[in-house]
Amino acid sequence: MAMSARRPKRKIQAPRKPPSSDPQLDKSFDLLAQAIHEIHRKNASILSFEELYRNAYSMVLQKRADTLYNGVKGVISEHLEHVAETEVVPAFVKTAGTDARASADAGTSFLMTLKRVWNDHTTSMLMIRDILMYMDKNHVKPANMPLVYDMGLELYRDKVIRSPKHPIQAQLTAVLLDQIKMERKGEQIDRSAIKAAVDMLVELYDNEQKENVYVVDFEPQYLETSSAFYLVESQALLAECDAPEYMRKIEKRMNEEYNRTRHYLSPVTESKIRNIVETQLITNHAKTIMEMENSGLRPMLAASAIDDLSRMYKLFSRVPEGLNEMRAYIKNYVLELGGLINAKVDNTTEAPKKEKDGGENEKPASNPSGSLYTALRWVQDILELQEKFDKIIEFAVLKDKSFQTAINEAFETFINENSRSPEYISLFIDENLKKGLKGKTEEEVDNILDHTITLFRFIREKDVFERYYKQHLARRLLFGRSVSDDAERSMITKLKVECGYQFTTKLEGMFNDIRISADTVIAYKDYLEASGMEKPKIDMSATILTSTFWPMSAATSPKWIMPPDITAACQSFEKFYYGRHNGRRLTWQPNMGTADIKANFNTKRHELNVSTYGMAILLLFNDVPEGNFLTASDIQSQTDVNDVDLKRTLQSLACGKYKVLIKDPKGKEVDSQDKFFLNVNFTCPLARIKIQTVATKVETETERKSTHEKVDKLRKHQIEAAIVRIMKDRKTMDHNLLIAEVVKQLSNRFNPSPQMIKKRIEELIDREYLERNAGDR
Amino acid sequence: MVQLLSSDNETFTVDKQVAERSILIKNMLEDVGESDAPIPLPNVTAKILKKVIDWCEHHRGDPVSQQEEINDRKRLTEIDEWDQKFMEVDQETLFEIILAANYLDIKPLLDIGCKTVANMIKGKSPEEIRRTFNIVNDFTPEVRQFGIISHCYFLAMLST
Amino acid sequence: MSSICDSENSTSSTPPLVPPMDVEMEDVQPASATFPSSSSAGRVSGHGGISGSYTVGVRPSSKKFKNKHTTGSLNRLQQQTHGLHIDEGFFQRLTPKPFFVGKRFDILGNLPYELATLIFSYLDPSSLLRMMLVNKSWHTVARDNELWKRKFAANPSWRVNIPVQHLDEMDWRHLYSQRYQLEQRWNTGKVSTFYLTGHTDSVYCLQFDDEKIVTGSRDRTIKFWNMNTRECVHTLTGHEKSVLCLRYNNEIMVSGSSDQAVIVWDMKTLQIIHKLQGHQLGVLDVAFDDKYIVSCSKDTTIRIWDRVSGQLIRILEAHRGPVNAVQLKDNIIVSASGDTFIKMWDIETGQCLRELDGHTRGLACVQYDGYKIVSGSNDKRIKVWDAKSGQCMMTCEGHTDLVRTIKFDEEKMISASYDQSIRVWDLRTGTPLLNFQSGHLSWVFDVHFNRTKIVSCCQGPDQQILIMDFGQGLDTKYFI
Repeated sequence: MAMSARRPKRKIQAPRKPPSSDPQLDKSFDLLAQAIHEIHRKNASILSFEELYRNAYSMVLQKRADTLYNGVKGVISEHLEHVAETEVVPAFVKTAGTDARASADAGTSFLMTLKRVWNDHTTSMLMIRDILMYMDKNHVKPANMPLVYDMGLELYRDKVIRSPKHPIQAQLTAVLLDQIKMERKGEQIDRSAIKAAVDMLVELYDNEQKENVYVVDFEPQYLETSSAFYLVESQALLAECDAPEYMRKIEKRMNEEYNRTRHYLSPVTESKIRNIVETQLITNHAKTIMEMENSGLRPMLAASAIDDLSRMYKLFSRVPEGLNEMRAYIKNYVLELGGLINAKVDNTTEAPKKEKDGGENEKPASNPSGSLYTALRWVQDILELQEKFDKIIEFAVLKDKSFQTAINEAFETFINENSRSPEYISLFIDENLKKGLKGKTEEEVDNILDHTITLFRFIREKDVFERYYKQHLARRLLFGRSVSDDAERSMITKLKVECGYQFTTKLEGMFNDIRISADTVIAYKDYLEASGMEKPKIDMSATILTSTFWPMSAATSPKWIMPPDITAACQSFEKFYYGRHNGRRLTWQPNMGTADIKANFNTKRHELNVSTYGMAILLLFNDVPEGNFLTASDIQSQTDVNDVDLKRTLQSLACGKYKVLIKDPKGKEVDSQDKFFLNVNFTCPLARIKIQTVATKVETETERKSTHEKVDKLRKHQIEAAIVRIMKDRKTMDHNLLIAEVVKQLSNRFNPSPQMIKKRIEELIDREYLERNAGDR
Repeated sequence: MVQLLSSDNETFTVDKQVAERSILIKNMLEDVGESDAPIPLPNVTAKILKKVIDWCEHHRGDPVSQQEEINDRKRLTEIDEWDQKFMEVDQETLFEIILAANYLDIKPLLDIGCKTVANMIKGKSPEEIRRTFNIVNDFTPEVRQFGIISHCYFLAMLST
Repeated sequence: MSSICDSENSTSSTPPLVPPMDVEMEDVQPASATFPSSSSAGRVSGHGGISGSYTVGVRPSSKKFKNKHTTGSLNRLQQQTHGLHIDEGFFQRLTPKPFFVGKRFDILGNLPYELATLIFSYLDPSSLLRMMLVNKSWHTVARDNELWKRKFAANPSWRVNIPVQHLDEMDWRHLYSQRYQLEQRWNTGKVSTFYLTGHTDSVYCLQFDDEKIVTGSRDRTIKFWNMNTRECVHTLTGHEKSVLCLRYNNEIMVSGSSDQAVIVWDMKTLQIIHKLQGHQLGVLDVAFDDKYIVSCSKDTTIRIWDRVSGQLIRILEAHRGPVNAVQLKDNIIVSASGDTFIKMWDIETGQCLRELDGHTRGLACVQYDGYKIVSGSNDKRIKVWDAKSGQCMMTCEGHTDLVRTIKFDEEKMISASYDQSIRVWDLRTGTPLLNFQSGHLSWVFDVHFNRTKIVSCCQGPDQQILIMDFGQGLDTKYFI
């Protein structure tokens, strides 16, 4: 198209006139230049705004805007140079005087001068801008040139602040830094003067750096000197303060710097200076602070100095990695303390080990209740430790999860270092459910149980714990020693929450058995009544234990010779029971029973509550003439009770608090030839006496071994079950993955080792449950 | 109250609020401060100044919008009735008013003036324009022919 | 035109207002003596001290041009009844506006440039063009580039992509006229038509850009055509049966075929990167993004593949009938099926997000841009849906057979059908704008469009590929 062939110029070109050919226009400019001078001399009131505006307006209309702009620029430029020389430079601070105060004042006065110069300039520029507004709007803006006011700022920046002729910038920076330094030392300075200077620097812009002059010229130096200052400061403080005080000082300095920035520096500096202070005061010395003798982290923890710990936490949390060290330190400390607690246990159990002559006849610890005491003490210590650190976590580190985790890990480590921990914890619970809880309110009970549950969580071998708990529970239930049914049930509920219902079904089963037995006994009594049969001489009540629930092995009933009367009673009951429940088998457990015996002593008649074995033994003495004795071996042959139990029972009868039998020779040890006499002269204020044999005790080494064997056996089954379960689901699986999966599934109860699992896999392959993939290893 | 002095020495007294519709006067008052002396406006005659003041009086309550020209895409040329009547003046006066509004920086009045002229132009052929505004065609004949032909072509293609 | 002030007649000392406005014309001559400078009559005192006289026009050298009014006095007060006699009559239109009583005066010519352009900014483009014929100074103002740039920008749908280095030199008036013409052609359906020959059978699918057109055909080949020369430059083989669908970008092209395979090609080397097997029946449509390739098939499933490795990631049992079309955007798949439903899926989870129900017969095509879904169906209708809510917002009727393919942009949508027509609709109102009936002789299978062209393909063997170019002869390279 024809029209498009032309490329017309965009602009209308100004006519090619020789410069300054138009006198009118020159006159206009002179007028304006003169006016600007007057403005600078603060004589603006004599000027006619309208006239000036009109002149500028005309110039623009006549296409002389560039001339105008550049001309104005020249005038202002000159003026500023002049000002720099005649006003700013004379106000320089003479070489730093010896008197800090005087030099500070001189600095302030320099700043004030600068402030005045700046204010004058900005005021003038505003007026000049208004006069030249038409040019700004219609010429400058469209051409993307700096507006008049901005041009004025640029000139100020280049002619005054960054004057090439005079070191104003350097002077300014020096004065500012000096003032700040003094304030840091504690001197008073004129903050408003500094603020004015800072504001000025902020308003000036550096186009190249794309930042304001404050950031480009002043800030870097400020940060550098601050860094150096705090480096020195930190050394000084470390030398004279202890840890808590040092930290207090840090806080103080941080607040100070914050205030400083807020009040008279630019907000952009805030994070940078904070960084510097933190680095110099905290990061570089975190370790030193923590490890300070007598005041560092260790003493703080020991003393549970919550304030100091809290301060340390807050300060350290500001710096990266700061908390990691603190946390690791605390964890180690906990491990240490835990180790100490464990060591106590080892010490007390050391002694008896030395006396061990191997095999079954381990002599009991010199202080049997001592072991129990140790166990309880151990748990108690840990609970206290836990409480201590709970407080620290809550108040000092504000429930920081990572700290909580670290401490938990520490707890878990040292708790499991003590291989008896499951037993101890179970014993502790046992103690509390037996006697300890009497008199406490429900809340207190709950509280204690909750705490024990937290310990329970740390145990890795939870199945061992289960075993012990069952044993202890069995004893409590059978001997009616639990203080409160509610507390028991509450405990089971908590365990259920932790481990799932499989863990607790058997326990609940045990409860059920007790309840059902009570009903059964009543039914038995009714049955006797109804049948009109001859009542057996002995009034018997049986507790029926479902064998799978209870920890005793039901397979064989311990050997003993039942006294005839007892036999009759048992048979009667059996008849009743088998009539009711077909297909069940009852196995009598003499080691778990008790008997009430009426005994006639010389002085009084007493009712004795003894164990079943004890009853068997005492009944023997009915046939022994007075004054005669039975040796231990006699007793043994007549009752056929096993050695261990026999000895224990004899001890309880002859060596305990209530000596119903007299032993010759005296002493706790029972040998086969020891003689036993009935103590006809036995006295006691109480009519009814309970003689306990089966005190809940810490297991002996042998017992432990046997428990662990049982546990191991169970574990083997569980591993196999897990393997089979997993393989059924996945059909094929990589060896390592399988091991990992098994560990995962069983982690709730115990930690199987990879070797164990491997062995089980081999077994299963042998039994043709599993098959290795051809081609695999 | 403010006093304005025209180029032919006539003084007009106006409300400050009215006068400040002119941004120039507004700035002047801010910078220079109020004084009793009338503000000289040697660029504007009394006749025109009166017209301008009339307009400002009538529009004294209007909101002062900061609209940038560039954003004003619509470029509507509608003018309300009063303003239309206001602008029914001879061309010279119209011209003066536009210039005065430009000088005094009264954007709305400037816009109305421009719109008025635009309305005078719209839809007219070049010949009609020349007649309306008494313009001489200063194209060379070749250029004219050239322009016309290509322009015809152009417009023909564009005709809706 | 230039105006000159006689300074000796000034009454005030202020400088003259009107600067000499020079124009890049030759023949600028000062007023000749014959030309009365109407001094007293022309005195316009006031602003800027326009004192003194004031000449309106400059005569070109009278040697060349005998003008009637050299003899008469051209007084501003006189009407120019005997003005120039070049008949520009056929521009006359509209009743002239009433002349203002009083002196006639070139307002515009005497105003500062920025005010003159301000006045012109209120004019419509045709008026502006006319202004260029008035005289030199008006011509200059009317030609102002900024003015035309703003006029261009006043059309929000006119978008340009101009490289930075050319930005300053753009002739906006020219751009405006080109764009305007393009617009007009779209409005009137004025196209230049071209056919591409080369395939030996129906062409099922295509895609194009500024440089090329890529087509897939029943003859089992994929052909590349040069957009400017309209010649076939490449022919790719690789499929064993008809090529039913294809899509490409700068890096890869994905094609699907009746042979049940999906082939991924490298666009630079034109080599096959992957051949994705798995579908049980022909692959009817494909889509891809940076991570995934999505294919849909007559076997009622949608398959999601990893774009880099070619691995199958997931199979969606998507519909109860063949899945005829699929779209992928922002991790959402939209599928349209012969079972009359449109479904939306999350590509990462494979979950079906929404089901759109409305068509009464099977769907043949669908398009999704993240906000709207447009679908065409065997029920001859086109439906526009809001993707967020799943609501059908509009139904367009007009086709007389199955709507086989559909595409849309912000303003319009273009559909093609078994009724052989290609129709253009206003996307917002659903109004049919254009209806091209004679472009094809048979069922149209695919259609694509951009700012200047519509390209469509149909059942063979003749005239299978049609290009309708609205921009033929126009300078459209910057329009997007």
